[in-house]
Amino acid sequence: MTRTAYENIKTIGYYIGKIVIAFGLLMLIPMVTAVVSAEWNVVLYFLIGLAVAVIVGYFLIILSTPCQKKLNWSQGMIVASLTWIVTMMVGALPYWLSGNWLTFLDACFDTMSGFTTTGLTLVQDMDHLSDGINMWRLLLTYLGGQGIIVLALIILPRTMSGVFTLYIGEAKDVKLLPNVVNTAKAIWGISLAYLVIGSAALMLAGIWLGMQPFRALLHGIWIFMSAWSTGGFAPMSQSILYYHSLLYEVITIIIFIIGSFNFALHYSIWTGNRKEIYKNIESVSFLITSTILIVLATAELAKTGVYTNAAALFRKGYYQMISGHTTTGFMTIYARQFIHEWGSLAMIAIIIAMLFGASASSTAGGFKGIRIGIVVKSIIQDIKRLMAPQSAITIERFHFIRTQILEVDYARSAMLIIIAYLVLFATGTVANVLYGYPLLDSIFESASVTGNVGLSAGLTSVSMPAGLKILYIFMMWIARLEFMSVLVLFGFILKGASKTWQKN
Amino acid sequence: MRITMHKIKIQMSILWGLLTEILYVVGLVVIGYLICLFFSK
Amino acid sequence: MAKKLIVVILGLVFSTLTFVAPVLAVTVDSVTMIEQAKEYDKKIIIYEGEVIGDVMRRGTFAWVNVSDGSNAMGIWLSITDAAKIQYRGGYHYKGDTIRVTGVFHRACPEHGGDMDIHGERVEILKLGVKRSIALDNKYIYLSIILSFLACIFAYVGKKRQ
Repeated sequence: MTRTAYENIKTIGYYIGKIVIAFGLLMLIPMVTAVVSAEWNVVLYFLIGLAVAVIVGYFLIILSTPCQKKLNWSQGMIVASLTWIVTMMVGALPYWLSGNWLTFLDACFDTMSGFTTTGLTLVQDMDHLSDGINMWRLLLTYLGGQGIIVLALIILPRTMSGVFTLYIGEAKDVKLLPNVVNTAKAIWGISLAYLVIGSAALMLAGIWLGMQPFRALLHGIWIFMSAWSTGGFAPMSQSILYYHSLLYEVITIIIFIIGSFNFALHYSIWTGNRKEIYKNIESVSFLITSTILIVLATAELAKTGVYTNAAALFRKGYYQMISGHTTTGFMTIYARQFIHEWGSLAMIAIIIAMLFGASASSTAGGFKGIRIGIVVKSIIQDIKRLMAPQSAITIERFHFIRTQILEVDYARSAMLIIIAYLVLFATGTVANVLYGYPLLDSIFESASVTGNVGLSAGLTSVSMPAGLKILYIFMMWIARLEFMSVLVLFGFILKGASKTWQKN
Repeated sequence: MRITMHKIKIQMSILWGLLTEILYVVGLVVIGYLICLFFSK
Repeated sequence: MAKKLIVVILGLVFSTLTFVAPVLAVTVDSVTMIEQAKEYDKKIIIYEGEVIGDVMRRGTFAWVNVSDGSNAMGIWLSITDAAKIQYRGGYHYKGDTIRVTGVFHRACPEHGGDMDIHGERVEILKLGVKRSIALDNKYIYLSIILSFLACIFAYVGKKRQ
């Protein structure tokens, strides 16, 4: 191995080590929950998890010191993508020890699903899950929504330099403030403010709905963390259907739509630029696509005649559609009802909604509103250009925080990422079909994984082949990080491999 | 004095921001319900 | 007079039906219910399973979620029936196993399209029990050893930095 490659690996190892330790310390939160709920075995699982995180973290640091602490572009990308894999394995430990996941692979699947705010799950006997493990599941979703590295930036600011690439590597490209650490703080400030408001609202609703106060509080916090992160995990196996309540459903809808907004949009509105909410290209894009798709789905559902009144159409049709479009994945129906009770058009509408997703630099997945907006605008621009006299110059603008001129580069990169998502979606569908699942189920599940949504037509289950589980983990990971940092990682590995090959 | 005024101003701005977001989303949900009402029998 | 007679006869027929129907009703599990919802829609069925989570009171009725191992189903019960339930399933308890006889709805118009069962009769088949979750010695030793190792690693790591 060349000297520079060795130096590269040392720097990468150092940063991953630091982040893994910070991540491990977060296990104190579910540990405290387990203590409060008197779940002593669960306390031990987290103690073991924490110890392993500290050992792995410091082991990496010891191996890597002394090293160059300034990160360059590709190192940052690699740290970002690899961190998600290493923390996935460490985070899966308490799951695995708890025995509610049959294999370590299943536990890893659920950790990645939580991190990437997808929400597909392979847990067994979910209705008897301990409070501690539930807290960890939902906390992972909450962390993943904001970004693991975004959190690490706050916990370990002094030792990190050149960290902006890390932040970009995690598919968060807006800078709210000039300093990246302050941006990370602003992101967490916004999320924590909503945590207090949202959990309180859900807790009060829970008590009103007949839950005991302590359970209402826990469920309030958990459902908030999952909804805000557009995650989709729920503490009970029936997801939101468990609560049988319009009120609870409406509160969750409000939380996950707000959660699907771009952090730059939140920041802009909070600092006084309130008109941004209806001018922003992403909110406009979301309004248009969601309205069209909801009209399609509702018309079809009304036609099939399963849901007769407005309340049922709203609580089943609208809820699932918005849950899919914001890439949340909360359900108020059983998975197989999609296949049996939703007509073809409604299924197409929800598959498109899942692929479109919500806003960039938010907790959501999918193509993202800004890319759809830009692509549509550039198509309009092309049509205008064709219709105008040859000498005329057509300029198209879009509004994102400020009004900007639509440049060819924007359209190009937006298209590229959309194509990458489509390739991923196609790959997933083909793999599902190859494993023998029906076409419609395959398309639905693949769209759900690609968009980090978490709605399921029943394909994701423990009995699913291991190959498919690994493919889904990979798909969730690469889709959440928006390809770039993962591709840099592969490039790095291939380059290293080809160099070693040449030497031999 | 000036600093406190400034702080209050920031807090008011955040509060208004929160309210704007929540009201906007409530509006979206109402539109959704109206669509459902339109298609219901 | 004839009208009154018809009303009385109809009334008699219906009341006998409601008594007889539970006997005629079939036991259905949750998977069959979801897969063949259309077939069982608005029919009286029997469903058995464990009460999980909360008994959520709503006025003179309550929601109870009952799991048969594959899925949990929402049961809409009168509070007098709900009061029979003593243990609700969770981490510490296995809930009561109950048998519900009631009307199954594929998309209940009264409850915003929920798939549910409006329970008319509830029997407790088996009382719930406290789950015996003993502290596992294996994990105690493992956590002590690993914590000790973690301290050493942290000490060496801090020193080397």
